[in-house]
Amino acid sequence: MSKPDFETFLAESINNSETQIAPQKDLWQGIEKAISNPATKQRESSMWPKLAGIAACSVAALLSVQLVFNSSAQNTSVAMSDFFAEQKQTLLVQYQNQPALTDNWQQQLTELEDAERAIKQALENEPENPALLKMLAQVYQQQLDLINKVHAPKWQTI
Amino acid sequence: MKALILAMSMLPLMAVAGQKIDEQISVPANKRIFIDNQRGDVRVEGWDKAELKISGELDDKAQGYRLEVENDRIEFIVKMPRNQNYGWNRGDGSELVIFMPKTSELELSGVNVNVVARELSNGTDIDVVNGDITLSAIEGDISVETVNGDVDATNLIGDIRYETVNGEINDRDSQGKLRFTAVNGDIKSTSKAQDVRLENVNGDIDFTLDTIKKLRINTVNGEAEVRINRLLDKADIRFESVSGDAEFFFPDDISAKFEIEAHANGKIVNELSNDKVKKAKYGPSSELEFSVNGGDADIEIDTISGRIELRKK
Repeated sequence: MSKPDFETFLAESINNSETQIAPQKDLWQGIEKAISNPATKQRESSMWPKLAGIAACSVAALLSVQLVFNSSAQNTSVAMSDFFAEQKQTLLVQYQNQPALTDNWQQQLTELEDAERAIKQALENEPENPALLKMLAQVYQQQLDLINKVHAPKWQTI
Repeated sequence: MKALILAMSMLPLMAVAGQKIDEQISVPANKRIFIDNQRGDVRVEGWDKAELKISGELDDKAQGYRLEVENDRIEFIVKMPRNQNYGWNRGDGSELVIFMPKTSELELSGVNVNVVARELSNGTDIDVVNGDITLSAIEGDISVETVNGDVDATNLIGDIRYETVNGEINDRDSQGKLRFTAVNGDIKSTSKAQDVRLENVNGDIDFTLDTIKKLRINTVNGEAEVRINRLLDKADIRFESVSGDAEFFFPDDISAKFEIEAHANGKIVNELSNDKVKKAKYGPSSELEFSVNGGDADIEIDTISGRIELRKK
């Protein structure tokens, strides 16, 4: 697998983003202030175009970082969901003809799926929250563990 | 060669179903004892003799038993018909009383079998499906796994792991490291273990912990009541729940910094300090961060919609 190219990744992220990317409110104020700041104290100097360029690059870098991190966190959550959904489906198909050791495991699985939905809902407000991402992974793992446990192959010779 | 001679001398006579058994053999020191009995009741006790004694009655459906020395362990297996349509639900299971060297490790597995084990100093590994497990006075690496049965344990010391799906776990006076993994069963522990971890889905949690260095609780819907008598230097506590409530009771002189976060309509109640909960300007989350008495321990609590209460003991 080749190393992902940052520019390509950024371009794809922008193209794939459904929401409009905008700086935070505080950032806008800073930008507005900087723009509206009268240039009376400025002397004609060749330094200012360079500084403006650096500032513009800094703002662009900040926006890029924000975009990349947001995109990364959302991708983490989505990739995790896709991965576990596939794993779960594989296990359910694998065990579909095997008797379970408990008669209430599907109810427990439903409760774990309810928990999964609650965590995903919270992630919509805090997509980068590591505690929530960890909880989501944990709930996914608990689903897989439960399915495996109640269909434990070691007891299937009984 | 010795092992071979020993194995030959141990070749059992075939027993008929329901037949009495009364075997007593010498066993090399520190060999693991493996017992496989699918149905019934098994009681295992450690003693100071270098001998394994098995007495009682075999399962009505048993097709004999095997008692022999493998490389690193001594195996006692009650042979059962492989076909599950053989009438497994008919007849009685085994009723066995087993004495083994207390310095040997016990490994036991079964399906519908209740297990009582006591007085062992080199750990145990017990794995059943529907049986209850009762343990007392056992040291070492201890692993207990049941699907539908309950676990009742007293005075265990060492690296202790409990695992169940529907069963309840009641742990008393344990020491060392504790691990609980459960789905539905309630979990109760009164322990001196300094390192405690728990993961469950629905069962309630009732912990009375004497001295804690590290505590991890991860629950989905379980209601937790956690009482901690003392925190060691730089103690580390993490609690996570989806909708489960938690009530923590800390010592009066606790030195810790707290980070509590309720991500979606959870509630935070603080009786440890005058610090107030901050509601997020946007969204349903709220948080509370504060430090008391120098902030030595690190306590982090996350919930989606649970109620978190911090109280003094």
